[in-house]
Amino acid sequence: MTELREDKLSAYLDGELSDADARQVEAALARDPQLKNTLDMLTTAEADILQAFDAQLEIPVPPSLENAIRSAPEQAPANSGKAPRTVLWMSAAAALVALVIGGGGGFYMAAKAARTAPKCPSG
Amino acid sequence: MKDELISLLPRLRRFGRTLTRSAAEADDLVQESCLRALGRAHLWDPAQPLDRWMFRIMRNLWISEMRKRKVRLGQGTVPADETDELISHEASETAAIASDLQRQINALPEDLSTILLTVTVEGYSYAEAAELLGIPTGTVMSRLHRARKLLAARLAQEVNA
Repeated sequence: MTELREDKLSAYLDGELSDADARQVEAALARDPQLKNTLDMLTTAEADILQAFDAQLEIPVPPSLENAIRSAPEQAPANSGKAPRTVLWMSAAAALVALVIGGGGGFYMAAKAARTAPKCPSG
Repeated sequence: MKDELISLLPRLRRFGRTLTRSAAEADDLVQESCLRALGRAHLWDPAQPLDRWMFRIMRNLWISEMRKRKVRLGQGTVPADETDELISHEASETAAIASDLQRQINALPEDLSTILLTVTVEGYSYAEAAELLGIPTGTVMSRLHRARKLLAARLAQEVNA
């Protein structure tokens, strides 16, 4: 019987094994009742472990911590709506208009807008 | 971002307690990490879950804090009253809440309980946990298994006792 690395049982529980390795674990479980016992023990413990960790979420958050966060300065987040992208879009569109109207002079602006607005679909 | 951070606080504090082993240190770490996140909110990619970004910030801050302390300890300048305060804080909060099993989880070496929390509770894959904690995937697997086996053995003992 090939020796099974026991920590593969944990990986098996977590669905972290390749198909081949999972089959190897299942074969080992079928012929080795002690290994099956260990797996059952791990599975039972898992529920208790989760419960113990979840109980920690019930600990009340101190108001001082929440207040510190509320009153902290905040950088404008990258997700403040879609405004920045729209602005880029508009400047690219404006540059495009300039290109059409202004000929060669507009080309420079359009190229510049394209460089500064790489995510703009019109490029 | 502030509202989201505040709604994450219970989980951030749990992660902090697992890393630091102290309720008071955990709150310091959580607060510092939240302030840092707010100061760098423009660096956060909203496509990335905020909780995972926060865990990363916490982990990095804690590691650099540990490094600083090692240096300070080397120079023997850690004030004694600071440590006293941490111990009394911890005793009052965890004693009231912790179950027997939680106490056993707390008794695990930090690297084992952190991996347990990250994978089984917070749902990281082995590869993601390895990346967050800066360890090989194989180490994630073996530590996780050691942690589970230790706890499972103690639980089984309790049942049989």
